[in-house]
Order: sequence, then C-alpha cells, then structure tokens
Amino acid sequence: MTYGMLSEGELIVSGYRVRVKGLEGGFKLYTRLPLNEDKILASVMVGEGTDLSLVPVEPSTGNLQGVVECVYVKLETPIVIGKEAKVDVRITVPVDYAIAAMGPEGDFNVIDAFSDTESTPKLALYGTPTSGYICRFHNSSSKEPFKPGLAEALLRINNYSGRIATVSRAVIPLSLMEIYYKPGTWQANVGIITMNLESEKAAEIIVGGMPPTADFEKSPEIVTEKHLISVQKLGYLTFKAAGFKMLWGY
Amino acid sequence: MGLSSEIMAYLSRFLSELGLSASTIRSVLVAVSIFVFFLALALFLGRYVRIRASVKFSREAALILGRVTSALIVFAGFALALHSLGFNISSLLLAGGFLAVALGFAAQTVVSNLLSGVFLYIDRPFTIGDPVMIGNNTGIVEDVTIFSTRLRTFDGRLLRISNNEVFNSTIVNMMATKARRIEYRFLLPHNSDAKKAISIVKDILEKHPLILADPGPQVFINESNLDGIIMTIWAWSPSKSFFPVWTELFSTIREELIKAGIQLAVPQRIITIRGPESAGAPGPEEETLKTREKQGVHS
Repeated sequence: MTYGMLSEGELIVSGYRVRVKGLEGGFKLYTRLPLNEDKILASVMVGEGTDLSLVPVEPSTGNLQGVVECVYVKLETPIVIGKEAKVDVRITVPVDYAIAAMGPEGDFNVIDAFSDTESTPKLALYGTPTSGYICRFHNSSSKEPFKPGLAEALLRINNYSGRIATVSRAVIPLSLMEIYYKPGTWQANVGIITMNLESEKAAEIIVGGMPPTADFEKSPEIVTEKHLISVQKLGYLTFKAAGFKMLWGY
Repeated sequence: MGLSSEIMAYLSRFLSELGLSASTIRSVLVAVSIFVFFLALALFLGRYVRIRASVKFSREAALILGRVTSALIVFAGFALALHSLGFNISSLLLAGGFLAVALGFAAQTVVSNLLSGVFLYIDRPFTIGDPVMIGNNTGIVEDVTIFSTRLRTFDGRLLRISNNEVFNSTIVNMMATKARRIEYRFLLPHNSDAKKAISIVKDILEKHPLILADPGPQVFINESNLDGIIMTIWAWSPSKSFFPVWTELFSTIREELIKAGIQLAVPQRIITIRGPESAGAPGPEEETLKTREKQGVHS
C-alpha cells in the first residue's frame, strides 16, 4: 500500500484496514476499521466522477484537529553555524494520512484523515503559555531512516544574527506547509524550509519550495487558516512578517 | 360629488371639531415619516457598521459600534422630526446637554457601568465565547453590552453582571493561554514503592497524545505526613483539551497504580480507649486523631 489512487479491495494503512467497495450506480463505499476489530471508524459513500486517493496531510487530524498550529522539529544533534554562514540539513517532519475524493479538475474533498498508529503523536508548547503555539513535537535525526508517516525536508539555515549561533529546533506553521507525495511510493516531501537567524533569539521561517522531482504531486491542504503567516502577536506587540517568526529562540 | 370628496369633507369637519388644522396634521405626518425613515436607516446602518466592523475589530467592539451608530441616527431623526414641527433644535440640543449633565448626576451607576464597559473593552480580559470566572461566577461569556456582561453558567443559567462589578472583580480567563498545567496529588502509603509509582505515571503521561512533551511532565514526592507520602503530578495540556484530559487522566493513573499493586493510602482515624487501670491518664477516653482529609489529596 502506498500513496496515490485507491483501488477496490482492502488495504492495511498504518494500523487500520481501509476498504473500498464498488456499489451499483457507480457508487463506492469507503470504510476504515481497526486491524483486529470490526468496529467501523469511518464510512463514506462516494458518487461517480471522483477517485479516492491516499495522501499525506498536515499532522493535525483526529483529536489534534484545531489544537495543533505548528510542527516543532527538535534536531537530535544541534548545529553550530558561523557568522554569515549557510548550512543545509536534511530533516524529517511528521505527516498524517487522508483519504481524498479527487475530482477530474483537481478539486478535492477530504473524506477521512487519521494519524500513524505506530507511534503516539506528542505535542509541545513553543513560546509562553500566553503567546506561544501548540505544536506537534518531532525528534529529527539526520541518520533516521525514512519511513511512512514522515516527510523529508531540506532545512536551509542562513545565519544573519551577527554571531555564531546554535540551532536545535525549527518551528514550522502548518498553515504554511505544502506537502508533496510521489504516487506509488511512501515518499513525501515538504520542499525547502528556509530559516533566517536574525538575532540571538529570533529567526524567520519561510516555507515554500518546489517538490524534489517533477513526479511528485501536491497534497490537498487541510489547514487553511492563514492568520499565522502575516501577523504574529507577542503580548501587545504585533509583528508583520513574510514568513513565520520564531521569537523564543532556536 | 365623488366618495373621496365626501370623506375629505368629513375629515376636515372632524379635525376642525378637534381644533386641528390640515396643515398641522400634515406637519405631524411629515415628522412621523422623518422619524420612521431615520429609524429604518438606523436599523440598516447599525447592522451594516456591525458587519463591516466585525471584519477589522472584535465581535464586542463591532456590536458596540453598530449600536452607537444606530443610537446616533435615531437621535438625529428625532431632532429633525421635532425641527419639522417647528421646534428649535439648538435649544433642544442645549436642553439635551443640561439634561445629560443632570442625568449624569442622577444616574451615576449607569455612567459608571458605561465607563467600566469602555475600560473592559480597552483592557480586554476576555472575548465572547471564553470560559471565565468573574468573582464567584463561572461560565461562558455570551455577550458584552455597554452596561453589562452576560455569562452562561455551565449548568445552563444566564447571568447578567453589571460592567462595574465585572471591572472591580478578579477575572480568571480559562482560555486565555495556549496551555494549562494539570495537577494531581496522590496519597501513597509509607511502605509503597515510590519509584515504581513514579515510573508508571511517567509512562502514562508520555504515551498520552495531549500531554505536552515540552514542557515535559513532572512527577515527584514532595511531602510526607502521618498518612503517607504525597506524589505530585504536573503535566501540561493544550487549554482546548484541558478539561477532558484532566478528567480522563485521573482515573487512568489511579487504575494503573492499583493494577500494579500500589495501594493508595486511606485516611485513618485511630481511637485508643484506655481503661480505669491506666491511672494517671488524662481521662477515661482519649481520642487520637491520626489523620484528616486534606484538601486536594487523592487517596
């Protein structure tokens, strides 16, 4: 089982049984069940003119929906960067799974979304309880083997802080994340994440990059609130930025 | 002679009997029309301003702006209607000014509530929909008007609290922060394996998806008394999921500790009865209170 179009039958996806059954009149019945139980967790009837696809989405599904605003990537090995230097680091970012009903013109409707059952998703607070962000926590190691439930990304760090800096984490807002996947594989990618270190404490995160190769397709976005992009508040102060500002250290 | 002419003649006879001329009636009709027109305009523009303002400002501010707009238009309509009846508006405004001062003195509470409403808007301790505790009242903020704040209590009652009282009370906003700390205190017997208990609780907290990894949970023994040792648990959770996590975790931890053979201490009372043979005793009976329920300690 891989990302891409779902055909009729039963498949195992991240600890769940996913069933697609053809019905009369061109309808398809989608159901999701646990591995060892017959309890239906999701069931949707899909009409003609749509294809069902399994795609990677932002890691904020299930009981994390509406709670998680960012992904907090903790680098297992902190990186020391010299003044005015640039460093490229491979990181991994957690992703959830979604079943999308895709129309012929690229329009879509996410009919079900769920997270990887093989590991418990953890959360972290970046910043203060008053002005911070609730993030999906992820430990990223450059030696970590790639596995389903993760997307790769290239973290490009530019040190404009005017001093040697140590980077141990990157916070990526979900509203900026664009996820790409390669149909027929488990490969998912978030493109290039640029991190401009501006001072001892602050860094700007700019997300946006092309997929690594042309055979990657863009996943539907389930987090559409864009308020984090342009304006951030720290107490009574409001910041306007092109990307997302990490204001409580990197 | 048509029917309409007959009606008109009847009406003019009726009005002259009442001592009113046709021109007076016309003026009254014009004044009423002006007022009704401004009333409709106030409703329309008030709504328009509220909708437009809600894009830029908070819901409460938009509501207040809409209401102020409506009130100003209604006042203008009233003044114009009176003007059309031949009243002097400037003297009306002057009289209005004196009246306002007089009313201000007479209605200090109203003014105080109004000003408190303005200060509450500037201070913004809560917004509509926030769960709050104002003084001894707890509930969800339903509406903030210029004079009062309405709270829907968790048992479904609607409370109206004057803005003056709100402004002078301690306000606890339970959703103003992104994360909140859950705290439990478990009472364990003195002979219990504290390290094992801590390890079990840490394991439960680490596996829970809605307990934050950073700041991470803390489990420690920080108190010992006659009843046993107290295991304190601190764990952070997103404010949005605080209540369900808080209620769920307590049972889970309790059940897992019992399952692992760790008994929870039970508050005890030992009564020692001394007979008459114990000479020199302070009394025939002596009660020793060994324990008491301590607030917040679960057993």
